[in-house]
Amino acid sequence: MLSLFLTRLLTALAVLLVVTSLVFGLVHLSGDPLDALVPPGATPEQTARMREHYGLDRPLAVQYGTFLLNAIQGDFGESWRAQRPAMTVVLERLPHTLALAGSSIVLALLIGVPLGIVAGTRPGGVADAVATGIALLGQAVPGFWLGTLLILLFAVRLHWLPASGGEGAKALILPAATLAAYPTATITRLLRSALIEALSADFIRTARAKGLSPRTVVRRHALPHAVLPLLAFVGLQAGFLAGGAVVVEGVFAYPGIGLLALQAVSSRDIPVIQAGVVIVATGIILISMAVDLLARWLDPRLRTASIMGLDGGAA
Amino acid sequence: MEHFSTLMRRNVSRRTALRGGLIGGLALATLRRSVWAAQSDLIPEVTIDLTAEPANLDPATTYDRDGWSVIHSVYDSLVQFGPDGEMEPLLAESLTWLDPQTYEIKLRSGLTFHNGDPVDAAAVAFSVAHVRDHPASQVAGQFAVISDIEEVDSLTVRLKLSQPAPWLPAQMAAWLAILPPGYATSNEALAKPVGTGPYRFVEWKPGERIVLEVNPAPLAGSPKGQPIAERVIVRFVPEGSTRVADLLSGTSQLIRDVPVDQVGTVEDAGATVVAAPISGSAWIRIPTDVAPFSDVRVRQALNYAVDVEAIIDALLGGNGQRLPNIFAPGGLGFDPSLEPYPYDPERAKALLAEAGYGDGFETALDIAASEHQDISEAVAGQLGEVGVKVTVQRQELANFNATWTDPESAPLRMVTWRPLFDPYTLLSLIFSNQGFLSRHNNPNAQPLIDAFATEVDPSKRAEVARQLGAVLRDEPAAIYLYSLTGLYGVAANFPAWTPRPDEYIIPTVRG
Repeated sequence: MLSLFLTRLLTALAVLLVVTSLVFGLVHLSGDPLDALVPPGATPEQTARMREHYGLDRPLAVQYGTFLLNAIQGDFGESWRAQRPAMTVVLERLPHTLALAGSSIVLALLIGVPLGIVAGTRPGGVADAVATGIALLGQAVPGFWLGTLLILLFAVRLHWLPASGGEGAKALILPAATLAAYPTATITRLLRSALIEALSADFIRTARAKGLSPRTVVRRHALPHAVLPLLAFVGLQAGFLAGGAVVVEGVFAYPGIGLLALQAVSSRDIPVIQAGVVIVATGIILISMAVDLLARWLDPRLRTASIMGLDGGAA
Repeated sequence: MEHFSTLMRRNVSRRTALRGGLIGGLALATLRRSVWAAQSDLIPEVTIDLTAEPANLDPATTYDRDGWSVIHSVYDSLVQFGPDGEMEPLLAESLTWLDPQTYEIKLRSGLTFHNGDPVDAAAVAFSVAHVRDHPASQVAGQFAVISDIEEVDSLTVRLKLSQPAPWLPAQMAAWLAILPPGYATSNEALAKPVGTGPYRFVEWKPGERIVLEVNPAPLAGSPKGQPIAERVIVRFVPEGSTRVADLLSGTSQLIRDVPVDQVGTVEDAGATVVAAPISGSAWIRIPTDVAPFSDVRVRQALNYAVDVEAIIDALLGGNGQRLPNIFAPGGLGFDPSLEPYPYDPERAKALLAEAGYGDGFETALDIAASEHQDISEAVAGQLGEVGVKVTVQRQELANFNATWTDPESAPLRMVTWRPLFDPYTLLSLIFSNQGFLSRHNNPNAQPLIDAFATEVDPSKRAEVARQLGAVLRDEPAAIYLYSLTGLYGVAANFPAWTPRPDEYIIPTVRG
């Protein structure tokens, strides 16, 4: 287990290095960073002075080397917009995004799992149709539209919840609900098909033949079968939530990393883009590792394979 | 369209009503200062939704209207522009041209910063040098003309210029805030700015809000007006419909940029939409350096072909007026007697035929992602009617700004430009043949553009601008569209407040 953990750690570090280099390459490929920094019509002297100030006059290889050396020490330089350390700018937004992503995945599980069970145990029935319908809707509705509708209902009409901002738990509810729509739908459908498959298996027939109640059959025998794909899915959601947060945080003016990333990209605030991507990538890698290790612990058969596909399975 | 024009009338009447409120409020102003301790006419708190979070609050490194809304609330400039475009001394008592290259600033006496430091010549000298010399300064170019800063006495500063720059006061009004030198160089300065403005900085929660509190001793008789609230919470909400929701749900009492299609929603809910003129204009740049646009008849045809009034009515809710050139009402160069181009598609077709383009031609129009695309699409549609087929291309803002003179980029580009109290920057960058962003060269306009940059006599300079306006009208440098308007959503219980033509939101009221 220890050697597995170490292998994972090394793989994770390698992935981070690749991600960091990729981001550096992409931001420099997208154009001269100075285009967004200098005001339109800046004098050549002004442009030259700014280029030097931000170290953009050095050869790209030197810029990359310096960036990497500093990044390893957690120093991503000063945000060009905020004129403060980029890592600080990103980290002060992190709790907001963690709260948003965490509560939306919990919400998705709270709604998606019961819906999936209802649909999977009575396929073809009315309950299944309703649950599948809800799932389809959740998957099809774009986040910005759903967010606007929720705002109109709960903020403008009912005055129950704030339409925007990030202060207090109340401000979290609408963005979390919006962000949860897609994973809720997927969890429902995933659980439904896993249950249908499990319920037609031989061991379920045996369990029923033993005289177990339908409830016990589902809870003790069919559901455990569906936990692994669910776990893998929840792990994969980390990436989706990070992407979805960009849209949802924009709609709700929620002060997380998504909104920050949007500002940073549009103003080419490269230190913040880099620090943000590294933080998000680290988060996703950590979650993937945790999910993978958890899956192995749950299912001994997996101890020679990976459900997250991070490595070839060195156990 | 009928609906929109009714709406416009309603806006105007509400605006008039609001101004009535302002005058009433200002009648009390003198009294107010004498009984300031009570502060009874200040409301306890207002919450304002801006669109974007300021990058930071350093005047040298912030270059957007939302950042400057907060900066001008906390800091003061030496001068500012009033509602009709006239220059008004603010921290300065007087500003005098001793000669075309020497500008003397005398400060009001007895002023202090929020931390008690004196507002003196040293502070002005420091602040000018700060925006000019800061390596990341966004406005270094505007102040590069200042070659020497001389402190004559404790309240007098002389700026020596490397060339005549009659446009410098306009740059100071927009981009120069006076900082306390001792404090501004401390580590705390960026996180907790200290100025002289109507409000003091309290805190900034990144991504969430900036909190200000009233300056208990605001500058008496400040042309900015007097504060309206004891505490101001500034929020940053990029989405228009979310700002409207904030206003209607009571979270915010003042919001920027009400989307035109939601004006009715706001007013039906009992809030007010204040339509306030902005010193700025919208137009579509036409280059003169490439065929077919080098032919003046083609540039005229494009102006005849666009029904600007219809666009104003249909897409801007009736807000804005059709302009005969790039200059904005209230700013230098604007001539109310100059007629805008009428909508005359037949005339446009005839001019195109005369120029040898009877069958029309194809071209492209660039628009920055931050602008509303519907206006460009409408213009493109109308140009299509006279045979000019236009492809509208949306560009990321940084890319848009980097490709002004790129011959490979679209010849036409949609521009909104503000402020235009003094159009020097616009002319020197985009319409002078020397301009860094210029694809315009008109031998009839160039001498006037040059004279406008250096003429120190204000009335002669105004006349030069007026003449230039006439030349630019007859020999178009752009498809001239409309003057800009700010649409603010204001809660029913909001106190009298003065919107500004420079588009900065400062929670003050003036007479």
